[in-house]
Amino acid sequence: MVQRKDIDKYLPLSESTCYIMLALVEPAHGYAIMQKVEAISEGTVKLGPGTLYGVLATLEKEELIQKTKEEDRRKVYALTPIGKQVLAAQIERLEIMTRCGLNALKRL
Amino acid sequence: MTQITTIHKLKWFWPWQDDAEEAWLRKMSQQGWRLSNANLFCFYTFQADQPADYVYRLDYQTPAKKEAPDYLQLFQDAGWEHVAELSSWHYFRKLHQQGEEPQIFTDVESKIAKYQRLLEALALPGAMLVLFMNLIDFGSLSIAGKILT
Repeated sequence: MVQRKDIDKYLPLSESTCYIMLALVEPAHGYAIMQKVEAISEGTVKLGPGTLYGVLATLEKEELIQKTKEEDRRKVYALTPIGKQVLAAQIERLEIMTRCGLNALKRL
Repeated sequence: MTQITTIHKLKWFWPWQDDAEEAWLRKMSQQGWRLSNANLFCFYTFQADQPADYVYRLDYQTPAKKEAPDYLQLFQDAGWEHVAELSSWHYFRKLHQQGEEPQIFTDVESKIAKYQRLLEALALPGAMLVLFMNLIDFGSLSIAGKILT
């Protein structure tokens, strides 16, 4: 079992990184990730190819994602077990922030 | 009268002036010239084309040779045409659609990362330049120095 502090060093994830990892709950390649992020974020997050390429390279180096196959010059990525734990921890943080935010909005 | 189909332009942009370079390339495309090659960091070759509003974006990237195909494929899938390559700089262009400014970097972290890559690449030549400047005794090269000795 991975220690909590080993997970925490990856947090908080940036908005782009968090959405890319969410898109990779099912394995996907670059452009498919781009389209999926725009869809699941309801149009609020559109990724540029430069940004996406950089985040995928970083996540792969940090071993939060891994390449599962390569077809036609496109690499297909999937979350690693640690990647899944990091994502789950990030979502917990966001839940706390959302609860706090919704409460604050009532008092604005 | 013969049609001019290729022109060359000599223009210098510092590495951090990529925004200005992108704007200039866009203006050239609006005047009917598409970038076909870039050399020596200041020598641009353009082909005659229909005037069109192409947005150009530059990336500074040093992917290992074996990584390069998926880098270019990703940009192509996203609708960016790879126009030219100069050292580690990649020139991409996309036709401008009404109401959107296409970007290849959509968050500030990745934009910073691009300039960090550039800084790392410039660090060694920069340090060597500073070292070189310090080794030369400019006092002894000056005319006043020659007169006094």
